Amino acid sequence: MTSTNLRYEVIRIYKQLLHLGRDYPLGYAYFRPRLHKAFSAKADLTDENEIRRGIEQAEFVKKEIEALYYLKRYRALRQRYDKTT
Amino acid sequence: MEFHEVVMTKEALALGGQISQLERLPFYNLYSPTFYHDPPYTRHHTVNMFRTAIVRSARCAAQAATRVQRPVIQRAIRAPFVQSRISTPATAFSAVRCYASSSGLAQEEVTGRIIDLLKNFDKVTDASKLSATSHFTNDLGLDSLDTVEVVMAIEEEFSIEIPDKEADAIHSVNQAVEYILSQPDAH
Repeated sequence: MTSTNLRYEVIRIYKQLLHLGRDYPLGYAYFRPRLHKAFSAKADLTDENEIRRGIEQAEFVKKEIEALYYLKRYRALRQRYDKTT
Repeated sequence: MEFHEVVMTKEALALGGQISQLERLPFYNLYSPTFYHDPPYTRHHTVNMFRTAIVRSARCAAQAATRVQRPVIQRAIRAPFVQSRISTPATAFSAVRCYASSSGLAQEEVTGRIIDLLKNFDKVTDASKLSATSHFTNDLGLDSLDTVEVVMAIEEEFSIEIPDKEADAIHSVNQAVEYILSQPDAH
């Protein structure tokens, strides 16, 4: 039962990352194969704790991408509104 | 993306900085249907959102009616807010009404749309194996992650949300078609 739950969790984080990747600065076509590779590299994990660690890592990457977008937005707005720079 | 950013910022300025919490979220296209597939914003949220907006606009209109003797300056300041609140829900409300109409999709149409979608999927290299009965893994050579992507694409194509369990059970084109046909709000 826990293995199916873990499976759904992995799928959920994969979907969230895919959604986030649509606005990736280098393009979705760059982002998607790399995400796929990163997930399939861990496809053979069977230990529950290791899978949990992988999910945590994915969550961390998600936060990083969000931070990247915030920064990009901040820079874009600043460029438009800030006349001094 | 750039376009919406600019529009949203201008609107925000026109509203005197009164941006709602939702609009302040960065890098989400509020006008794209895919946004509403993402948790935590489901369709119910948007309906509620519009409902509160309508209630609020009605309250504003009622207040405006009762306070006719208000000073001119105060009325002038309030005017743009009232106007903008009324104008947005009017368009949004009609969009919600469109959602309510039943689709009645034919099986051939659903199959055709799913096959077209798979044709555009770059991992499917051998288009000759693509048919109404092809299996994602066995015939098309997709792995489970690709299957997740295909299911996501199907969700977007038919503007529905497929729960985890059902999404996990879809492994072939005809399973997907069956699922779509069983959903009354797919279109």
